[in-house]
Amino acid sequence: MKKKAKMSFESRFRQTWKDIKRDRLLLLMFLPGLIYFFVFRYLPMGGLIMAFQDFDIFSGFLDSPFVGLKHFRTLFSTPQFARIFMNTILISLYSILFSFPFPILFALLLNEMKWTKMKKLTQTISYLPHFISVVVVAGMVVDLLSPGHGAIARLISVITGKEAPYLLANPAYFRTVYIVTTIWQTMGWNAIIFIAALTGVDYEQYEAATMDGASRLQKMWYITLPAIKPTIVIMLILSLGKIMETGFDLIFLLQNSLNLSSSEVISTFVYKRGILGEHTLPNYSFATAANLFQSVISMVLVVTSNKLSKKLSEVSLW
Amino acid sequence: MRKKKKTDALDLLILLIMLLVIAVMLYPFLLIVASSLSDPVLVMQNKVHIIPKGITLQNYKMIFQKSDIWTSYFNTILYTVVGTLIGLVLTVLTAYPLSRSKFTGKNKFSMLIAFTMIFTGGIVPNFMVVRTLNWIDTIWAVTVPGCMSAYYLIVTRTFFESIPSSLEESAKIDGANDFQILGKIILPLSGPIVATLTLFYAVTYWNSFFGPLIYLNSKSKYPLQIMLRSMLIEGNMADFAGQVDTGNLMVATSIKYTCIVVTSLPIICVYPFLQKYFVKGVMVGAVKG
Repeated sequence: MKKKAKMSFESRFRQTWKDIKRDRLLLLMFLPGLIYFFVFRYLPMGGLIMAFQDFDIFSGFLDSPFVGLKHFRTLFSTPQFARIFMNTILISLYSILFSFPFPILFALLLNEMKWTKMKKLTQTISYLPHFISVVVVAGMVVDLLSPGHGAIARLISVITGKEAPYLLANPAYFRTVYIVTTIWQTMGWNAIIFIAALTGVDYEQYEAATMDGASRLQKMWYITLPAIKPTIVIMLILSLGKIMETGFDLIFLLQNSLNLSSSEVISTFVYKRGILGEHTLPNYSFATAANLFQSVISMVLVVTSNKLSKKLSEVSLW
Repeated sequence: MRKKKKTDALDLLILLIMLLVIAVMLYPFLLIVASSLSDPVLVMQNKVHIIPKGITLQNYKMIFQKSDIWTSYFNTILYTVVGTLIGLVLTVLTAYPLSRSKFTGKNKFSMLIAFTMIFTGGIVPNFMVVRTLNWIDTIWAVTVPGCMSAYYLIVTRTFFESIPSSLEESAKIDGANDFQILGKIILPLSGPIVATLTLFYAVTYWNSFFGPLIYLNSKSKYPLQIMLRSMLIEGNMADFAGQVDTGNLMVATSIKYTCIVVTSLPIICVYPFLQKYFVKGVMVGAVKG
């Protein structure tokens, strides 16, 4: 280390040049990937500059007038924005609150399952919804809930004794429908990581606990759960970072004009204003400003929750 | 291994819960398959549940003969094959140098890639890039921009790192270059990760909906998911069923179910066989996510 610090600029340059020459084939191999990340990940980040411009597609990034924070001011004073922001936060918060525990619970129960064949079968079937396209999933939801015809709608009317209302036409039920659907679709797949963590639990601990007369539930609580705690924390950090990036696809597909007051989130708003151009021509700059606002908040969330977790449990992503 | 223990109440409770899970996971699919195989009249009268009634293949025949579904089917297969190939090649080529401990700039490049996982430009700037490349309404717009996942790139790198370096060193002594080492030594040992990547990319392209929605304009280029959306969500039968009598609600409902089956079947048939690979792939990622 010390030696390196003493090296002159020239000799360091020479060293780097030597490394590059040695790795020329590896660098050549790496080049396409590098170009990919530059063009499709970093160029768009540069394109965020349009959030501060009155971007005009014919003038381009260089000649469009710079307007500072104008679009952010418009955004925050847009009457629906407060609601859209709340919708985004609520849907994500409820998702974490309700969807997050299910895969853990499922993994724990599966781990306690005695019959191996049955265990494997359950696992395989639980992955199935993950492989189905969101379009089909949304289609199924619409179908199952449609009054008079859908199985769930008919079940509801049997229980309540009344004609079931169309749940997707009522803003009050949108979040429930969305979250139940996500749980259904992701529980099995998200459990994989916990099941993997469970196989690593030291078996001797269980034996010792059995000797001490611990019940199965006690063992689950005191041995199994602490053993997979690091995995749980990491997965929680990851999902906290995604608070702002609610799943665009499913929300967009379940959305209709009747439930919009609870189903419009930042990403669907950005799409409608920036690409689709609802009511008017697409306003690229305004939509990008909304998107940037979302990206910055979610980045802050990941970094903060990661720091917090590092402090509290010594588990972190980086 | 666990010793055989007596079955207690908890075991039975767990079994019961698992049976419930299976039922909930499978119910919508069974309903759809049964409806697609049943007489449309009985489906309309809500008489079909998970067991088909008045079994008939007429719905399938109708789709096979009359509808535009085949153009979309062909497009989906094309996008899936092209996208998966590009993604696979690019991911392997990018991950391998990153997995070599002495690779120049390894850490800087890794940071550069990891950063894209927590911060992105968002849809409008992405759209502008594709537009600038003149890719709107071409196959490249729906295959290239999303072809490499930073997360799976890191998983692949971690997998390559786990292969003993002694193999690589002995090949180097024999005069093999990096491309030969990757092709002849590393790849043959990388079955699980290649299978994981292939499955992940193929499923993503097969099911992808947002890319085609914003980048494609001509109907002749639409993949299945776009057609499905217009039919299932917007209730627009004309796109899908072509010359089928769209005023006939009865037939329309059955056609919907049949289209779902035809679209989803390929993936449902494949994934159970690749299960042990993708489970392994996810686990590799978990070690050093």
